[in-house]
Amino acid sequence: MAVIAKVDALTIHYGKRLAVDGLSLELAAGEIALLLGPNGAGKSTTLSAIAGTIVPTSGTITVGGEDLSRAPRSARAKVGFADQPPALYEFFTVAEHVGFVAQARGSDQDAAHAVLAELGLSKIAQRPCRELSFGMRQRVGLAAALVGPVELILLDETLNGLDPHASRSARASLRAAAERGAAILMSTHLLGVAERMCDRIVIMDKGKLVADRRGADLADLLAKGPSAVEDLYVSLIADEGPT
Amino acid sequence: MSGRELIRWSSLHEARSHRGVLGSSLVVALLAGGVLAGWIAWRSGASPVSASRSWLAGTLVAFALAFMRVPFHLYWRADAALLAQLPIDGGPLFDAALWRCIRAAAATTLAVAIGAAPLAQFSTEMLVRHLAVAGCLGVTAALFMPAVATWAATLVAISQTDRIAALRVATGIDSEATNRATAQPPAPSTAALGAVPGFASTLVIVAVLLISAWLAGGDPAVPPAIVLGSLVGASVLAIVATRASAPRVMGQILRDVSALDRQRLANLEIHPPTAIERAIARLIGDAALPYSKDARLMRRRYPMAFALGALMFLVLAIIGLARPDDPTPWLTAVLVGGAVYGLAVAGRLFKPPIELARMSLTLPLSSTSLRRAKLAWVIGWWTMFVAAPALFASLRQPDPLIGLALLGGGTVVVLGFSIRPRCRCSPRPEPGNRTRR
Repeated sequence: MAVIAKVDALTIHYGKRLAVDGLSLELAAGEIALLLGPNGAGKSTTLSAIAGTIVPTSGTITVGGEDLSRAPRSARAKVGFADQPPALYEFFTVAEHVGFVAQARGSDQDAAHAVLAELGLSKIAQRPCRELSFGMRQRVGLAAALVGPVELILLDETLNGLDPHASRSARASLRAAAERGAAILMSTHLLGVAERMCDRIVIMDKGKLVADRRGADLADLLAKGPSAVEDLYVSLIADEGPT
Repeated sequence: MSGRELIRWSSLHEARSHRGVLGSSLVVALLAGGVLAGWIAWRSGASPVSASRSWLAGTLVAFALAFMRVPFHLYWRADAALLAQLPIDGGPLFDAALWRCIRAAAATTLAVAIGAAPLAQFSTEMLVRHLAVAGCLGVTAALFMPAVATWAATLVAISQTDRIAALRVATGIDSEATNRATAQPPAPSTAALGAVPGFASTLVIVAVLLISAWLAGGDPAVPPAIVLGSLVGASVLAIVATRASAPRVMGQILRDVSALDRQRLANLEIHPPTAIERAIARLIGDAALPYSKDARLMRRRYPMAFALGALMFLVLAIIGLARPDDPTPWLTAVLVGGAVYGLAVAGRLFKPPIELARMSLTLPLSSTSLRRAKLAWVIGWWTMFVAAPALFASLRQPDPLIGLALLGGGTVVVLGFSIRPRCRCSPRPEPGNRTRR
């Protein structure tokens, strides 16, 4: 399958603290990859860097063949990012916020309405974003990430806080996006959800990639039982508290 | 997305977020202009020169605030991170930002033009001179300052890009050899983002002060036509040049400045409470804990409160030491400006990220202690930066009553605003802590 995103030797410092340490990763079209790791492992920083909202200290990121540092606009046109917490225009309605993002990505308002309908958000389309609950905000952030012709979807703990119906429709929308050829990279701590929908599991610790399972490896892992991912995680990550 | 479309979206959001009568910049401009006009009318009773100086002092304070707001219209914005993610060209991003700057400059110009109206009683020519200065400052705020602020941000963004390029070369990702970069480059300086516009503002204000005598019919140090013409000419040239380069740089500026802000905020230095903060905390009993929290957060989140406070302290000290012939305009401008900014700062104490009302509700802290903590912070800030130097400046004048009356009025307004019971009243969700200055 075609490579949608390529991260090569990504390193990010926050002052003296090393947040991401030489991370390399490729994401293929149609792939749903789960990014796991303890709090402070560098997951959100990695996602933000791939989305272009954090400047890496070193390393290269390409999306759809475009180098993010050299052609940021054309690279960003292919990326949908649900940040944590979601960056919403508080005084827009849900429809206006998603409509704005759709227009910025070159799509029309129909695309925004379609995504809202797909995620079951049509009923709250006219509510101001500032009045939304945590879970609703997560869903609107997801809608903004999905709208338009995006090839790479980045989700930072976006499935957290969703009720079962919302979680199911979100998973269905993500699977549909993957079937349309998008690559999806999402961080989460919901291992059960992860096992149900992922094609690949990537585990980070202390800014480094410590495990990458997909294809037959992943199938073998999941065949071991319902807690196989958790067992792998626990075996790889020492419980040292937040870093 | 075109510039027109982005301006439409941006205007819609701002119209929603500034609801209410006082949310309209036109209403605020009319009110401020009315207040300024009332003051000038009062000072007109003293002499035309006093009225002119008073107008100039008020105008310079108003435009200093307008100049300071320019980076907030351009890149220090809550939506910078979102806009940085989206594939919007630099041209539309700059046009939308410039539109905000022009509207703000127009409102300020309208306010000071209304304020100049009482000068018509002396002569039409005197009024026209003041309006010419107001118009020139308006053009500067609308065109020159956005160009300067964009240029400063370009320097920071390019510096950041160059640093990364050097590192890529050094680490072998690019082919050319160099050993200049280190494995951990120093954090890029964002001081230029505020310092360069601040320096440009100072130059503009000094240029206007050079022709202050001409406003009241005297001989200026420099021909006014040259000063005003230079400011307008430089503004037009600067904005034309900046607009030409905006499609190339504005997207990078927005992305890099918002990214730098995020990285900076993620890496805040933790400083212990200062001696003054510890002394205040000891005096306020059970409000000490929320006061310490407020003091630490205000220091980190709103450093401008301390920078502006230091500036007011300096100006008041100079007024006290220099004892000018007519200190009233300068005392009034600084104390009214200080009180207005004090109101803004006091308001911030009650909002996220300083006060998280919903979290406070879950803690065993009384609303009285929360309010007392905020009042203590405002008293400390006002006393240290405004009241103490204003008292010194007033007592040094032959007639201290006007200064003392202004100080008393400002103190009542600022402290009265801080006492209002507003804690624990917000049921609204507290959105994430976005970048603020």
